[in-house]
Amino acid sequence: MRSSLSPVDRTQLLKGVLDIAVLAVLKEEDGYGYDILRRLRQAGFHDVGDASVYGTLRRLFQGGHLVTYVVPSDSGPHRKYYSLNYSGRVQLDLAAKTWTDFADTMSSLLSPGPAKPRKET
Amino acid sequence: MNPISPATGTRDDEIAHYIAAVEDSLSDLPPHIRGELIGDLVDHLTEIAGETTTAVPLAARLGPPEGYAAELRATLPARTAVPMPHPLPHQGFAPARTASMDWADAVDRADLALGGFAGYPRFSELCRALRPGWWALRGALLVQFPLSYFLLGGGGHVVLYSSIALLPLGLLYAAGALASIRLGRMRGPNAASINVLAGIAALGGVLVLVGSRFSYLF
Repeated sequence: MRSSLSPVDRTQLLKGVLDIAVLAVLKEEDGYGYDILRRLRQAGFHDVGDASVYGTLRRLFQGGHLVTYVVPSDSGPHRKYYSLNYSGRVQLDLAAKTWTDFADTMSSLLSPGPAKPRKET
Repeated sequence: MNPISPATGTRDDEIAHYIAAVEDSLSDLPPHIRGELIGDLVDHLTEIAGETTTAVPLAARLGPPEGYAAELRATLPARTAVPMPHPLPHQGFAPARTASMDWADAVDRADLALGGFAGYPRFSELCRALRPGWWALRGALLVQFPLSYFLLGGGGHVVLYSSIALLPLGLLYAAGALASIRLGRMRGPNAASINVLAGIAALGGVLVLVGSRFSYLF
């Protein structure tokens, strides 16, 4: 029998949360493209691709949620660092609340036993 | 389609060929969307290529350009035909909210620019690094004021340069500095207020001393 969660589904899930994941990584510390990719993989998103991270960074930057600055590197080309701005921090707070609510709902649905009514906030 | 990664080309050629192939795969997108997607790709791929010293071909590290383009396309919002929404004023958000966001973004930029000038990622980071120094100075100033003003008869004598009892004075300054550093590291609901008050007291003391020392000028 095939797994109920195919790689395609996982990719779709990842696409849905990549914005939040990238913002969360940048909340921790500013980073450049490859560094952000590495930190996401270290966090457990092993199958995230470079193009996904690059495209997400571009979109968040063009959406006004990130600022950039260039840091010279002794060992190679200059690196463009991304950093959260005020709008990015607001975006992350909102997304984190939405995600927590969503994850709680899913956990409650998937946990064995009768479904518990959720408290409306 | 463009040739990819010719074996004899330089790294720049390889990047250029890879990007040309990615762009080729995205040719159905409107030019402004395509431009937004690949506008920064040269710098990004140069950065990626610089991450290793071994000459691993880009296609081996990132997969074929067609796959890269497909992944890139997947990062577009659902309505790819329209430009991405911009949360700042010209797109019609409430003026009060956008004004505060503009202000906060300006502070962010200044923080980055001043920090970069000083060799730090952010100016606020530099300020954080300097805090213990300020706490020590504050403690010394808080010791200075009562010593100078009350014990030595007012008039703003600068005790630091007095030859009387240098050792006990030095110990007093050190104790003041240490106590102030301890205060600076204090955590709790009133810690910030107490620290601000101590800072104001230290700077106020300096102003009083300077004012009384140079009062003959006024």
